[in-house]
Amino acid sequence: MADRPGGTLVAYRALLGAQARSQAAYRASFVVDLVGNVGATVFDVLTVLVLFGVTRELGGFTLRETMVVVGLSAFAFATADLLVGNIERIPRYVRTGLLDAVLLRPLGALPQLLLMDLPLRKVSRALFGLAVWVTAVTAAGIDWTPARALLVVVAPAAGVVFFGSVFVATATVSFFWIESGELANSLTYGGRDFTSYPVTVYGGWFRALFAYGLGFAFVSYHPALALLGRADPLGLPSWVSWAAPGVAVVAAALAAAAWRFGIRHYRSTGS
Amino acid sequence: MGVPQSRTEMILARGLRKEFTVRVKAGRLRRHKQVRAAVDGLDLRVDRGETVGYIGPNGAGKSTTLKMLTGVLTPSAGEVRVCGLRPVAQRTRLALRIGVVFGQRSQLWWDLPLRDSFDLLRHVYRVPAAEHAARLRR
Ligand SMILES: Nc1ncnc2c1ncn2[C@@H]1O[C@H](COP(=O)(O)OP(=O)(O)OP(=O)(O)O)[C@@H](O)[C@H]1O
Ligand SMILES: [Mg+2]
Repeated sequence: MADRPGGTLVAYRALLGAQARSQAAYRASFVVDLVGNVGATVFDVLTVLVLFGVTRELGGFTLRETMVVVGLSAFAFATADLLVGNIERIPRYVRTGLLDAVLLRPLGALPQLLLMDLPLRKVSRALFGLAVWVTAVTAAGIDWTPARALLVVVAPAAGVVFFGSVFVATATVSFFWIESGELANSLTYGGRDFTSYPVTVYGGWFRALFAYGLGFAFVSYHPALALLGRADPLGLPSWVSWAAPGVAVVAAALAAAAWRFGIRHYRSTGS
Repeated sequence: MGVPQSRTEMILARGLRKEFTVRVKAGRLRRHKQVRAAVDGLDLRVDRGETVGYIGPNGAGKSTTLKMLTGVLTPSAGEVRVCGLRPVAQRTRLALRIGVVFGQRSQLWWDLPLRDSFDLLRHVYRVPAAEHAARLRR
């Protein structure tokens, strides 16, 4: 059977449609979920506002500047969590045979798993994150240049790719070590909390590890510096603040390699 | 259609092997790793038009073999070609050409009407609409 060029995309769209219809089938509970899911992200943003009720500066950043960091972090995490977050359910997919089933179909295993289990109720969180981001960059008094106008669109996308890569890479570990969920959570949720503040509020090995060892400084801190036209208080050269898209591409490549390695070493179930 | 290596060879396995590392109890607390072969040196050739039964007691390695033929499991050793394709490396191309049922529960979408599930799978397997309608009528 010859595969038409658009055939694969049509197939993915059909999977997405099925997922949307089956979730909308329980409309009342879907609406409740939609509203309830904004909670965590609103809380993160409120925390920052409350902090600024007692201080004028956070790690050398004003409220308006910090909101750029928070908005970017909130949008990137919520969107990645919506699109890719459920991949942490790999142990369940293995147990129920879903992973075997998708491997027997003529489509990529990862996109199938993501589309078949897409938590549409998390859309509300991503939209809230987007609203915070738009408000923050509008209020920040950015000195607009073509490069900054481009970055204001690319940085959130890069952040989504980065968090998505962290989700996939940590989930892949559970192919080999089923109880790795705690470790995965400390990286994904830890990363979300870390990126909600300028990295200058953290210190020592912790900052070094999360910011540059794992690369979380490039999700929100460095793009914010570039947009605000601020030099890095920690002394890194200014080009580093524009490196977020490149870091996201590297993260995605590493995550893809990890995923492929995991699938090649997948053991299936013994029965 | 892809071109099989020889005209009629549909399945070819040479020295196909799959081993699993299992942890076994050794004493009260200690466990140690042990390697067990689920499939050990399988040679198999099935030509076009042949109908073949593959039988054996529980745990003989039938499912493991099928999973290697379909690209779900990577063999530990040996060679395998199905329709002239390498199952793991060319998994999605192979999946368009073969049909497999593993007693899978996950094939259907429980929240959707049965007809919608079929329609969805039509897209997944890229079956043209007219052909799909004709098959459903049967
Ligand atoms: N994922 C796995 N991890 C560990 N051992 C496995 C795994 N899959 C299969 N085995 C072992 O490999 C051997 C062969 O299993 P397999 O499922 O291929 O047998 P089978 O012939 O299909 O048996 P049955 O008739 O019960 O379906 C068994 O001893 C099984 O316990
Ligand atoms: Mg079996």
